[in-house]
Amino acid sequence: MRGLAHAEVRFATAGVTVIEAPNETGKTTLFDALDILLQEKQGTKRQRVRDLQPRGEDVGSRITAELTIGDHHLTISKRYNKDRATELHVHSPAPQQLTGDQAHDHLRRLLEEHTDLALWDALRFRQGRSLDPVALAGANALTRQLDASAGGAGVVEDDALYDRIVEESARYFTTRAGKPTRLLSDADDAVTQAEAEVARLSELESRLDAASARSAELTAQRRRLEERRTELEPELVRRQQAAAEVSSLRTELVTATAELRGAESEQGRCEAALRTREELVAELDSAVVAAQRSAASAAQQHDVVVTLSEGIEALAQAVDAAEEAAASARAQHERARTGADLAAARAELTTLTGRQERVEAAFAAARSAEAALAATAFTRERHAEVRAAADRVRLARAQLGAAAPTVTVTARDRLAVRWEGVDDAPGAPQEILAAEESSEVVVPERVVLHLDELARIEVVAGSSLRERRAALTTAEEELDAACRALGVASATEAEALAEEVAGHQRVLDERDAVLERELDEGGQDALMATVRRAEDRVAALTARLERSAQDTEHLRLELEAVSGPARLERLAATEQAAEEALTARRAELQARQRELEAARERAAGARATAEAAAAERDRLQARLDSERAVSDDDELRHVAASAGAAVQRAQERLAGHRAALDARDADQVEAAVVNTRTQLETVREQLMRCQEEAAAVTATMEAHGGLGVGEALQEAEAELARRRAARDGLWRRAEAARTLKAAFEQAREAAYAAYRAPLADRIVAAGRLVFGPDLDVELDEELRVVSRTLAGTTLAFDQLSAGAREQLAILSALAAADLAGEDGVPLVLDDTLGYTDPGRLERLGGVLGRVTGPQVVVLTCVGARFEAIRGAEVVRLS
Amino acid sequence: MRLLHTSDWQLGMTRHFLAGEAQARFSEARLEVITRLGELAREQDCACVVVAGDVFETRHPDARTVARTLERLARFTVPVYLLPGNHDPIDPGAVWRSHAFTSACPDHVEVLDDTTPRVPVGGLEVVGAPWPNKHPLGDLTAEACEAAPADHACRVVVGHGGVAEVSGGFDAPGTIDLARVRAAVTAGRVRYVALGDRHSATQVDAAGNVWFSGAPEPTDHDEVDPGTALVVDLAASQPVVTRHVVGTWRFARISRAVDTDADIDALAAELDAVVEPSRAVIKLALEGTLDLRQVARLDTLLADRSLRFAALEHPERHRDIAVRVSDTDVEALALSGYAAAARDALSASARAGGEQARSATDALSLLLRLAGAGQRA
Repeated sequence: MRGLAHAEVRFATAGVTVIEAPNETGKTTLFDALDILLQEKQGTKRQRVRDLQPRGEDVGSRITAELTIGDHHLTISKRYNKDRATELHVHSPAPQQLTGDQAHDHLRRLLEEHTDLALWDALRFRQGRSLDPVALAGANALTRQLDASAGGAGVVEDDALYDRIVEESARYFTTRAGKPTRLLSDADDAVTQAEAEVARLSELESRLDAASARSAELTAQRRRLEERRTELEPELVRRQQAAAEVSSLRTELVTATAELRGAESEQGRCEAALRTREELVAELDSAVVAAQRSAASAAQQHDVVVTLSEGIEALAQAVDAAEEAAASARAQHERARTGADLAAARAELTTLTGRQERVEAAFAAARSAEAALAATAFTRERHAEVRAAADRVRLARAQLGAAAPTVTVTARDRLAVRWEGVDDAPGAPQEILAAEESSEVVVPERVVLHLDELARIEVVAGSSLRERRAALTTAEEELDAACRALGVASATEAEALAEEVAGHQRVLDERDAVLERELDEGGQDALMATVRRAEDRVAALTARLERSAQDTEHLRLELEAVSGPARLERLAATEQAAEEALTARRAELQARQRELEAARERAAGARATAEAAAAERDRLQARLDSERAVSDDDELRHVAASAGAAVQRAQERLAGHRAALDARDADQVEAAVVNTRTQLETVREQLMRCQEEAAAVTATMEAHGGLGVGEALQEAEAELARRRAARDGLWRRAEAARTLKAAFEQAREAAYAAYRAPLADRIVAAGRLVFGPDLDVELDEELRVVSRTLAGTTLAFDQLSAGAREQLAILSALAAADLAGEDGVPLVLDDTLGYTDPGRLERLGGVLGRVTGPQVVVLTCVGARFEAIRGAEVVRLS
Repeated sequence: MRLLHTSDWQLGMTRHFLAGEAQARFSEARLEVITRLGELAREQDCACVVVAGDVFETRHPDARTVARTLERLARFTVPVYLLPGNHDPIDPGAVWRSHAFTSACPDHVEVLDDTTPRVPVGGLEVVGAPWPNKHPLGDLTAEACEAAPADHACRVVVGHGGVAEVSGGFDAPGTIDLARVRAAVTAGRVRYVALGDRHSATQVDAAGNVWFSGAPEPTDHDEVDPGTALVVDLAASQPVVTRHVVGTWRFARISRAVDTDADIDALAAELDAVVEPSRAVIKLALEGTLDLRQVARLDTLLADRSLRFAALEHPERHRDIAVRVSDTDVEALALSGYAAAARDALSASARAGGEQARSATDALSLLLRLAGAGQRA
């Protein structure tokens, strides 16, 4: 075999067997071979069996094992790939020898009956196994013992049945969400579709049924209507005949009525003609009288007009005279008023002109003063400065004079003296003093007195005198500077300049005073405008006066006699009196004229009335003459009497016809015709509508008649019934599967909950030797370790280190193997505990060394790892 | 002088309990019987054939049904009179006025679409009382009888509808008043009244002038002695009516009490005794009490026999059968551990009754099957 030419290993029936061999010497192959021996028939061509052959060699692979299965002790031997063969020797309890598939099948039966294959799979720690916890659920050998430990009978069910139940349930419901699968939903959908089809066809069928029912109704209705029509048609004819007779009578009545109206009309016409004739005669008589009266009235009115016209002529002349007088008075008064206004205007103009001249003069004076002021450097400050400097010079001089020594020379005789060093006599010539005449000099600083040629006397002032002189000099220089600033040579000039400046200032003040006095708010421009307006007014008044004056002379007189108020009042009174007189004359004239006008109108009216009355009289006379020419008055009276007789006859005929009509109850006869005709029309109309609707209903039924709706509906209903039955059956089976699965899940969960405690106790008991006395573990419903608690700290399994996970897995497996007891299977550890530190390795070895019941096989390439297992049988493969 | 009296062909009828090919065979049998009726008319030397209503199951049958019917009728050698009945009244949209019918209707086939007398041969008058719609306002047959002259002629009125004296009231539309019909017969207006609507052949009046012919092929379980046609001899003043069996299908009910395995065996034997099961529609009415194993056995039996019959109707899970979980069932379910606990819980639930009991019983049946115990039974 691959990696293993030949090996024979004998395992301890209980306790630990360590198989130690280097890598790739076939340790793993050993157990793979055992799996194949137990599971595969000799004739299999599966890959893992073919892999047993060494590469490139076509040789057979022989596997033989001596096993104890339950109470059976046997040897099984199979040869694969070449020279295939199977041999089974059962040694006890009953010796038996089988070959081929028979041998294989017998072995499988024994295994299934006595060996917990799930546990066998769980307790195989293959090389490179993941570090997941060991899942022990479903291992019957284990769960039987756990069941017993939990107080049960120690009898457990294979999970295979549970798996079939889950599989059955999964046909109907999804595993996770428990929702109906396609199988159920398709059945539901199929019913829904069939229901929709039935509904559709039923609806169509119902419409056809409704149409059929309606068709029947319409047929019955048509029959009724046709019968009614048959009744009504002759009845109408009968009633129409009766109505025709009534109509004939009515026509005669109408004719008689018309005849009566004709006779009455003729009678009225004749009587009217007679009345008209009589009225015409009376009217003519009245017209004759009226014509006479109006002619007299017209003559009277004419006389009044003549009288009034004469009076008015005289009155018109008086008015003309009054108008002339009034015009004269009005002109005189006007001229006088204009003259007065002109005088006043001239006076105002003079006043204004004076003001204007004064203003202009003030402006002229001010302009030269302003020019002079502008030309000088004078200011009040500078002037004050000069004054102050002059005062300081005077003070310095005084102080100098007071302090300087005075040298007085008094000549006893004529004496020529010459002072040298005296300021006010520089280079002074020689002075000739008469006897007893003195010459006195104040010594400014140093004075040399030359007395003829006799003596030269030098007088030198003390130091204070020099200081005072220097002060004087300073004061004088300041004065000079101040004067220069003011533009003058000396203090005296400065004062003169100040006086001059004051004079100019007064001129300016004077101008301001004039302006204040003479000008209003508008200033000079307003004054000039006022002057111009005064000039215009004077010119206008002068022109007006010139126009009104009859001549220059009058004008001159008017201007000279500038009217006083008294004259004006007098002239005004004269004018008013003239105007009033004129108004009175005119009013009188107008009154007379109105009277005349009225009289004329009355005269014209009276004349027209007279003329009209005469014309009316003539017209009436002509008309009467004309009408009498046609028929005279007697003839008219005769015709009127004949017309009255004709009316009497027509009235009698009409009464006869009316009596005949009343006897027939004409209204009722005619109403009956209308009623019958209306009924007949209604019936005919209903019949027509009925036929139209019948045609429409028929069309609807004919349109759908050929579709096979009825049969299709039956088929659809049958299909619906079948689908419902199928669906209900399916759902019932589904519910059964769901109920069964739920019951199994509940029972299984309860069972495993009971198994957890004993298994956990076993794991903890062994684990405390490895992890310490405070170890605890928790198992889940699949009997897997889910957490470990150590020193009060709980960690989930997958949070543990790789070493700890592997150690716990091995401890779980060991506990399971130990619990399974005689029903158990070997625990196989292939190349494990590579992650375990030496300390734990040793303690775990100690645990494994305590194993006495279960068979434990350790495959390793590092024998030292498992040295701590006490009493282990060690097999070394080479 | 004879005529063949038949009715209620109900062509185009669909039965929900007939699935797939069974329905096709059922439909075909209903067409085949027309052929046999034609042969019977010829053999019996009938002057004509009257079909007293419900020729079609609906007034809107499929066009193929119409075509196949007319194709069969075309082979008849005597006049055939078809009366519109309550299933196929002659309203404007009905099959009778459809193109499918009118275009293929043979000359010797006539629809009795009004009460005008037809004369197939001299001395015989056929008067129809057709249904104009599904809700006729009066007694059409009696009216047709009363409209005929009292001349003692050989006159046959073909009508359709229930007879009050037979059906027990006038509730249904178009119900026939036998007294009026009998009065017309007595007055010499009508010699024979050929009726349709009742699927069982029935002599309606004591004298034997009024008959239901029955349907030529059965249509339902409640029909008494169906599958017949009547040959009516009108030579004498009193008609002589002879029944002929023409049907090939059978509708039957089997009612049994099943409480034991022996009862199930007896049921199996009775089913196996049915002749020509492929043309038999059996409705089972079973009652009794069975345990799970017996129910499984019954299910297996019925599933097996269903394959032989045209239809073997039985209510889903035998509603009238009480299912009990017996000790035998529990023994058959030799389970252990949690499976035994689950079984016992379901068993307790099934025995407790109520809505959950049915579900629990079903679950136990399923468990029996999945555990393989079902097969052992």
